[in-house]
Amino acid sequence: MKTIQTIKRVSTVCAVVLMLTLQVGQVFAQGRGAYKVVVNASISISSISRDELSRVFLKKASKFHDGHSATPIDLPASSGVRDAFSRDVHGKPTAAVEAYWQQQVFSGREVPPSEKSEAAALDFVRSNSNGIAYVSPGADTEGMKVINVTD
Amino acid sequence: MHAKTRFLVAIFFGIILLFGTRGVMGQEVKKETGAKTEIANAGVPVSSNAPAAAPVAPPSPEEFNELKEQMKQLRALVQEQQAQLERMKGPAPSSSEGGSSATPSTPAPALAPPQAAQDTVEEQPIRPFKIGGFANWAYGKTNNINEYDLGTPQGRYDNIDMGLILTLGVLPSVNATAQVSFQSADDHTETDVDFAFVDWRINDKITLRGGQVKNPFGLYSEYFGIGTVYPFNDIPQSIYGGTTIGKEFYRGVGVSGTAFTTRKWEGTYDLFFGGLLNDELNPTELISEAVLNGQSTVTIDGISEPIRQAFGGRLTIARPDSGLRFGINGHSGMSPDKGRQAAVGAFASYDTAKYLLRAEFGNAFESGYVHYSGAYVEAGYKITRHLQPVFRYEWAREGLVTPVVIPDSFKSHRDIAGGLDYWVNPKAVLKFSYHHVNGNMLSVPRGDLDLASLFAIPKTTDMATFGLAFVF
Repeated sequence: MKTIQTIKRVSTVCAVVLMLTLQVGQVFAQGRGAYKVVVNASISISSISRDELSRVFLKKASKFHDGHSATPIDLPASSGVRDAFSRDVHGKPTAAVEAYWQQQVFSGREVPPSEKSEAAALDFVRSNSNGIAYVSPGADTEGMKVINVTD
Repeated sequence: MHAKTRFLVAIFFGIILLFGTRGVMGQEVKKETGAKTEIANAGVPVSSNAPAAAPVAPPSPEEFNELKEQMKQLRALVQEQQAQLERMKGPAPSSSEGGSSATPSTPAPALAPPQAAQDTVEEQPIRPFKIGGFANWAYGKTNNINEYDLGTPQGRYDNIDMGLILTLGVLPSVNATAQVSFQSADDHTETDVDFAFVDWRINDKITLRGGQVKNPFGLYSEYFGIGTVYPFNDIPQSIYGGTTIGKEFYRGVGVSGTAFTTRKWEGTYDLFFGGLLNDELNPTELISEAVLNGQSTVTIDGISEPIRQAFGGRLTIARPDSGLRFGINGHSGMSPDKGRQAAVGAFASYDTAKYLLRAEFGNAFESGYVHYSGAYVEAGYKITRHLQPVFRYEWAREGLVTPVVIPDSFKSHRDIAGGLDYWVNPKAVLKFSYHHVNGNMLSVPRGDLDLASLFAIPKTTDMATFGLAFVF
């Protein structure tokens, strides 16, 4: 009888762990698949690590690893794509990133990237040789380069 | 045969005309000498008797052979220039889309530059321009004759602090920043330039600054008046409220930047040289001087004192993705009256979307002895997106050496506070807090005080505050 109860408990625990794992995996997949990163066609890099991407968008790094200057563009704070990007790349929601920029602005250290609509961000990246932005997966990125985000 | 010859001649003259009138990416310089046209610096020797762009008679076999040779050279030139265009566009990786992968495979003269290159010519350098603003208002009331921070016995409504910060890109790597503010308290208002400086970002590791710059000390020296950065209606008094440990700004030159980065951690530094300003509330020293001078009363009020030949800095180590940050800081300078002064401190914070935990410790030295010690710890937890209960405990101690007998309560400060914040959004917050203060070091009656009544002053003070803060 005890053995059956133990098996039931272990099965329940395993099921919960499996569900949680699937849930986490799903969230991760949603985060990564909810945006794509585009750069101007003249930028030679084809992939970028999440850390470097975070540093570029928080303006801690002004250049890509190949030495090419980077000018990031943010989507509006209300954008779901931005929140997915913030959580996946910066590891925090948009509100926390906004709080970071408040501190940067009011300490006089740095100003945040320009905020533009998706269409305007794409136009900027297309026409600016240092441009980088993140956009929704279905966005028309003709004339730009979509780069991979690596861990 | 004739038809083929005409076709080749037509192509040849077409190319000559095209090159002659438009050039190719600026590499060819068209020279005109009388009626003759020559393409120079292109590595293609065109004979000086090449015909001008005008109708001509069919060529002889010799001329035809010469034309064939020239066609070959021109084809080579076009191919070379197409290769140059490709190099300018960069390699076309597999992930490229649109224009970058749509390169024509035929060697047709691609005389018009590709879209990206055309637009890049028109681009302007991006220079930052940002106007930010902040505003705070708070009401504070104490339960006895003592005043403390924002509170008075009658209740103070005019704790108002609002300002504008303007950052302007002067050059691509040079920014000018200024903050002007309007402050009001005790029916006294003033407009002030809080800071104004120019910074030059040489690279990610070094930024030079000059002017009146926010002092890089601890967690809050750079955020005086920015109410959305701290959880209570004011920053901790033990470090920033009259103990001279944390000062608001320096006047001089500084350098800051990133000291190191690893995959998870980063270290940043700040160094400066110039002048500082002490804003001190020191009832013990004022009472001591009054007694030694044989006065019967003392006027308790804040004192501002310039500190010259100051230098200092801060080293911060952070793990940005986790919200963890800690560091050390300090500064030292000369007071005209009291000689060398210095302050050192350490801080740590853990900020996430839900949790807030901050702590700081500091000592201020004056002429070789510890003048003030202060510390605080504060915590907050966001129950929902809007509601955040907050807690703070702070402590400070003064070490003034004096022969005058002064109640011990004037040398110590303890504040236990709890509060509730309602975040309308990340840029606007309403705050309520209740403070229980023990000690008169920072909680005393202001104005003229009868020295005979020193021992009758309440040692404990309760204060309630309500306020709002927003930034834009």
